[in-house]
Amino acid sequence: MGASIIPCIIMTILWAIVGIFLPILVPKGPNRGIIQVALILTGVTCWLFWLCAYMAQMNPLIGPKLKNTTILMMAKQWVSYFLLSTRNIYIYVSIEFVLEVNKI
Amino acid sequence: MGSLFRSEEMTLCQLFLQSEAAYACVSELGELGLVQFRDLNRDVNAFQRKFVNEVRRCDEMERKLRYLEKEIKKDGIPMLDTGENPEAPQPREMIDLEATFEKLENELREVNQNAEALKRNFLELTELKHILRKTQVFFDECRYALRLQQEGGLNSTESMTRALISDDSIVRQTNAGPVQLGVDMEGARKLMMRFVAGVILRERIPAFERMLWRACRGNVFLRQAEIETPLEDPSTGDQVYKSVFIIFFQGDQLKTRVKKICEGFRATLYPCPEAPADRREMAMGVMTRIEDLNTVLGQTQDHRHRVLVAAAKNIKNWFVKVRKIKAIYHTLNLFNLDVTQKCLIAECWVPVLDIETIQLALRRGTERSGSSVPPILNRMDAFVDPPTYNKTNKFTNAFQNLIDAYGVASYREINPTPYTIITFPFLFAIMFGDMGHGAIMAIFAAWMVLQEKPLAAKKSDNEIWNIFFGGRYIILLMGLFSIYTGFIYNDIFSKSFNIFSSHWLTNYNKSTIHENKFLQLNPSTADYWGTPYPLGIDPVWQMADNKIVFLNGYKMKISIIIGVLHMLFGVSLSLKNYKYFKNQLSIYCEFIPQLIFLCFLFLYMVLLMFLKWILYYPTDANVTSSPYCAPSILITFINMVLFKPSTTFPKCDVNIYGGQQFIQKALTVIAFLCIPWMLLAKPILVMRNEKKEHQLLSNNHVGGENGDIEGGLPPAQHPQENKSDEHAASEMFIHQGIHTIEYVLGSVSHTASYLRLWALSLAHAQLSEVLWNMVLKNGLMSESWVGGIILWAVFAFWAVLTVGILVMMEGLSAFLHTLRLHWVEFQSKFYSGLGETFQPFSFEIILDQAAQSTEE
Repeated sequence: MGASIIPCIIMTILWAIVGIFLPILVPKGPNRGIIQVALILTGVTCWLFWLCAYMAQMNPLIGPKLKNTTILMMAKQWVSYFLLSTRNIYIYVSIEFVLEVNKI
Repeated sequence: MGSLFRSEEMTLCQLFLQSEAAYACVSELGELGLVQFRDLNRDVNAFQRKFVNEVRRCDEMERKLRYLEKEIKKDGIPMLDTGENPEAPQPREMIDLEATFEKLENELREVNQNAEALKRNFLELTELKHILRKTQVFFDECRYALRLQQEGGLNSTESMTRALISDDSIVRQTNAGPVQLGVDMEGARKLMMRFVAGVILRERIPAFERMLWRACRGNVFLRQAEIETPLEDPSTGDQVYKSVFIIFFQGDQLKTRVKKICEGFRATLYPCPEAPADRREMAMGVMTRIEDLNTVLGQTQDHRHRVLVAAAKNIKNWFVKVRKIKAIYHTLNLFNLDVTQKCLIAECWVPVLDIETIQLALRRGTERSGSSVPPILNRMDAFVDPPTYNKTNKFTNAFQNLIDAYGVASYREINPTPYTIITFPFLFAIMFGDMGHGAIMAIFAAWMVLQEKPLAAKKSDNEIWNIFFGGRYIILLMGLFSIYTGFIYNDIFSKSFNIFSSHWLTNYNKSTIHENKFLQLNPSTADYWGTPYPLGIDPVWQMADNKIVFLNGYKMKISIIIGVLHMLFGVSLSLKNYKYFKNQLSIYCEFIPQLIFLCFLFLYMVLLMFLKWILYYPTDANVTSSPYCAPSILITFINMVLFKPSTTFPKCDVNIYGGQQFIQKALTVIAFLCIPWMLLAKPILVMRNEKKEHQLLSNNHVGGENGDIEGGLPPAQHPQENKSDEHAASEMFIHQGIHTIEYVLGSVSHTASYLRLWALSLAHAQLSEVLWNMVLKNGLMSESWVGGIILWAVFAFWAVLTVGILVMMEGLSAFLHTLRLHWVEFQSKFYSGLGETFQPFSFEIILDQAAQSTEE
């Protein structure tokens, strides 16, 4: 299981607001029912769509197959993101590696 | 529950109207537009109805107005359209209106007649003027030639001939030879040379010439000159080009022949004096007459213009008034006349909620007409199904139209529109998922929504634009949802954002990269963070060589997941319908087995998909839950339905979870048991109920028979009843059989049908990627300043193709597929759509239709 809690909670709360909280707040009027249904369905469909995308990548069975030039470019361009995320010891390795790449 | 979930409750009403008040009351109801009148005189011919005279008078007035409008348009006078909506005038005002229109029409016709006569006169004079001018040239040439002849003797005759005669055919004209021809007018007169002059349409000249030549055997001589300025044809008002001609000939016989030919070719002949002095005098006279005519013509035109300008101010208003009167009398023709002739009786469909408003309107009408007796509105029992009336607003209207295009809901049946408002754009967006294309669509629709009032006021008759404008809210929602799905697909013009930093790393050393052209990252190592990209698809996939493999698996699964949920939603809506119509039998014999069938087979497959996402993960330690052992859901499902044992690779577990084989068998057996349940339960129960009732009935009869006179009657009816019973039973079985087969086979084919979500989304993504790589990429290649210019051109091309093909055409195709998914896959689960639309008597609708038909 490779889900991280924070995005799950954020997205669920976000769409729960749209799908559960907002429908309660809809002002009274002839169109109240319609607006409520629209909001609930929006919340459900959008949350489901995000969930599927998330779960499909949770446990990847295959890895991306990349061209070596793409890998070099990735290493060069996406480095700043690695630095921001101090999650992994490999960061240092990759920085070293990137510096090397830059020298080439 | 609020409006739109079901159609409005309707009731049939009987309306008694005082004869004097009827007109005003109907007029008020027309302004309200909430009442649909029934035709009570179906068997009466349209010409024999009561108010046929009035309708005819209205038609006549409308004709006059149309004539006026045509004349106004011809003069290009702008018609004042204030958009105001005058009330239908009182019947007595009709006479005034008629008189006004009559006067205007007569005046206009008179003016037009005068103008035409004047114009004809003017044309004749102009033509005469041209003839005099042109023939002058011919005669001048003649005199010049004569002088030459006198000076140069015989030799010059030939040159003179050439001057006079362009055709060598003339050489053979007379036996006397060319010399005589060349003689001056005196000589010509001696030889009895005559001529006629006239004007003919320019395009007729060649045929005219040929005809003359053949009919007169070459014995005439024709000269012609073009009139440079076009002349106006008074009858049609067209500009035509004409030519002046003059024909010389000898003898009376030829004269009649020539004149006949001229007549045949519609050439107008004019008298042309021979002597130059006469001609000059005539020309002078003509010029002064033309001038006089011009002033008179100008005055006539001025008068006409004044009349039309005055009419143009009111014409729209008049049109509205006349159309309203006509509509009222048409409606009154639907009414029944009471025996005493003092009352008109109408029957009408009325929304129950609006009865109050209608009564108010009726009271207003009575007050306006000054009648003392109030109209009476009685509710009646209806024997036919009431019409379906969905109250829509500008937002829901377009969605309701989508549903109505398939079939108008049966009365009080659940209306799919409220759910379609979101599910339609959502399913569309799954196929159209691209932030860029979605944004283009949303911006276009947002512009239409924001400029709604000015755009609606323009009233374009461009059909495509009207479709777009009518569906602006649908397009807006489709655009917004496409932006969201594009965000999840991480796709903008076939590129990805890397907002949250890709969760895939590259940990290769230099030599590995240099030695291998392609490298596949391994999710079970440190290449993968361990958690997925938080929002949408990881951007690394956009650049991956095996992108399609990954996306196919993902998109196919979501198509099925969403499809099954969509169908389940449809089935559960049918429960609401059954509950509303108190159809307990259908709940137990249709809804429950349908639900079980769908859940136990297809929802189970969806659950397996989620299980596969959770239970199989990249690992080297545990083989049974490694990617190597991950089963194919589709194969598992097929094996389950066919009761085949699952197969798998060596070292792997056959089961995804414990007890899978048993549970699957149980689910399949129960699901298949639902088929006979759906097929047989309902008809059998209905028949049993009928039998019970029958017994009860005949028991009663037996009781009655004891001391009743009509005891002999029932047995005679029995055999017939039995027959019709059998008939109904077999019909019911057939109906139920069709229904069941449709549902069971439909579940399979509809589930497969939802795969179009995957197919279209894949096609869209691929197409936009191809467009980027084939077109825009070329513009980004060169680096110098020339590259900027190339990029400019390439970008224009790319942008046109993006909007034209990817947004418009792909959008249209995705729209149609979404429409199908709603009409067939979703609505077949609960919607019968056998209703009739409510068509209220409303001036607004009538005027709109009239305006549209005139524009066409």
